[in-house]
Amino acid sequence: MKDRLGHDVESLYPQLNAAGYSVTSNKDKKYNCVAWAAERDQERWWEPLSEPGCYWPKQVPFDHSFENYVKVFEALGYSPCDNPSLEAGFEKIALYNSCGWFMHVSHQLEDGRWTSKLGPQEDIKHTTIGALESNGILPAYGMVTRIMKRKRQIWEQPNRNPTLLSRLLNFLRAPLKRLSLLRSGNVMSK
Amino acid sequence: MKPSQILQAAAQAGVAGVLAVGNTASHACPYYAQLPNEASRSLPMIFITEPAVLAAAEYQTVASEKTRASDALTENFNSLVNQWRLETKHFSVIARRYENPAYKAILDMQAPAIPLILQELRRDPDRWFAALEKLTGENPAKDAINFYEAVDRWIAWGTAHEYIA
Repeated sequence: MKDRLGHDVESLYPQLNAAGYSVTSNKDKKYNCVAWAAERDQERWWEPLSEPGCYWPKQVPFDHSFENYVKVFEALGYSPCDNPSLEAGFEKIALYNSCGWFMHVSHQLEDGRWTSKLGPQEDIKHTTIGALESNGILPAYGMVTRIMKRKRQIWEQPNRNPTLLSRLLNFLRAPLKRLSLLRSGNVMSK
Repeated sequence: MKPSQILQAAAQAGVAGVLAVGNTASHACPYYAQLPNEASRSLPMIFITEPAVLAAAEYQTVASEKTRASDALTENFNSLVNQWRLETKHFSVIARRYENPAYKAILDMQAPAIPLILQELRRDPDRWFAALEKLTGENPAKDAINFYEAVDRWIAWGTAHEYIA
């Protein structure tokens, strides 16, 4: 795993370097920030789109409005909050908005830092939510316009270095998982 | 182009002579070699009318024109892909990536873009599924469980349909 983002990606976030960050995963195009913040889901790309690997909760309207992204997190028990400060017993998320579009969501860790999956790029840990904000000139994430919180859940830590045995088990489980996803309608297809 | 036009153009360009494949009757003389010699203003023109040479020249010209067109298409495609990636590769919303002008320009390239997209998909997998579906009318990855499986299915489809080797 690299220590730093590629210069081409890092330069998209003018405040990231100064604020401080570390890379916490390799690139993975299967999942996005919403999947990561919502459920540490590393298999699906959470977006209302009829494309392979995309997922969208059934109870949320199937369109890209910012408010529908808010509803995704409301469905997971989050409610509005007025500040990003660390609160004991709570976890927070910050939603970024550019020109009315949902752009990104960061999730607060127990130590007060934040974790973000940068689109199809790497996951990073960053010190502030402002680290990923931009003034709108660059094609980045815009500004945080919504903070939400819920009682902190116990997260299952994703396995970054699977053993040969766990890879084999995952391989054997794949057909069952596919069947399960198809039955639940979670695989989007036209 | 008529031989007289070729000679006129050659004179203006300051070349020494023209070797033409074709004959004056058919005016099939676009294949010539320029011999640079600014001092010379006499422009002898030698015509080659051997049918086999004419056929070979015709074939070579058509082939090289096709190659030039293909090179230009590939260059344009690569430039658009670079622009698209530069501006959108960190986006968390795929739909926003599809709004990018460079992506739309790739779609405007129509069918000739299909093999280029498939090659690019194999070289550096990205969200090309909607573009491929739009351009081919097919969707071999419709029940793929994740991104990488969809990539594999499209590449297999492209190979089976001889868009890529």
